[in-house]
Amino acid sequence: MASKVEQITEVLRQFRTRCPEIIGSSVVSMDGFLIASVSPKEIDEELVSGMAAALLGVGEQISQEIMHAPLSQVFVKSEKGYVILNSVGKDAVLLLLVTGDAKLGLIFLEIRRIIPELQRVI
Amino acid sequence: MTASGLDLVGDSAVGRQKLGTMVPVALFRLLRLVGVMEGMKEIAGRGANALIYRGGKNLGKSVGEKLLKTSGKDLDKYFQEVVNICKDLGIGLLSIPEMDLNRGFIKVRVDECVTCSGMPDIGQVVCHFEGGLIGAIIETFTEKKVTVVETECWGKGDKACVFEIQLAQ
Repeated sequence: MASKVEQITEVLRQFRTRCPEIIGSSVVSMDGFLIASVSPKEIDEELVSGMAAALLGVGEQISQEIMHAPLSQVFVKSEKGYVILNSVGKDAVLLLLVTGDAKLGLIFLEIRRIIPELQRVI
Repeated sequence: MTASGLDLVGDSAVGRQKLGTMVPVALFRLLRLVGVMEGMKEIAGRGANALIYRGGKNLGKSVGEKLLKTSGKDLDKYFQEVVNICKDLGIGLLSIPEMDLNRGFIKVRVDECVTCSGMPDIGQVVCHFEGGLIGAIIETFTEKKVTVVETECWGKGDKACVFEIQLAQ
């Protein structure tokens, strides 16, 4: 029986196979700890995990404060691509790095599909 | 000119000649729990703990590197230095009730924690800063990434803080 980390890693790996525009993906805890990752080696995953948890938290607060509605997603567009954050239940965050030329509609569709899968494992 | 890490402390004896270098624990808690924790939660919600943990971790790294210079790579000596400095600075009374380095597990107990001891039960742990501090001190010695979970805290009705630390294998 594969461990929880192995199962999450496998979900992330399959996700990347289906969507090659995904450069990297991680699942981190809301306390900022890395749970599993399929990401480029040069990324400081520990630092980015903390940032992801904090950024999702800020997104939730601003969504609630301004829109009076729960957050759906945090989306950061840079000159090189996108960072997309989604909540996975109450304890984890899915972090995706996506190339600038990605078809985001397809990525969003896939995100909606894998989040329940990740929730089942976590 | 810039200063960072432990250098930011400066020389309070020079700057506070009349008021002195000590402040009450209550003031520390007001800064730590009201100023930092509640302030950050207002902005970052449930992501605030990650920020606070990171702050503790940055400090723990500086402390760990300093202690390593006196203890060398002697684990018992290093932990004794950690226990001593936490007692001397009034951070808390540290003990290690469980340690199994083969499976990368260390349990640290902190009695009389400067942040939470005696605080009311608010249904949640509050010592993420201290968790980061202890985690980084252990990480500095072992050179292995750690995950820290605070399992007991005055903030959730316990009588001491307990941190469970898992080292990456």
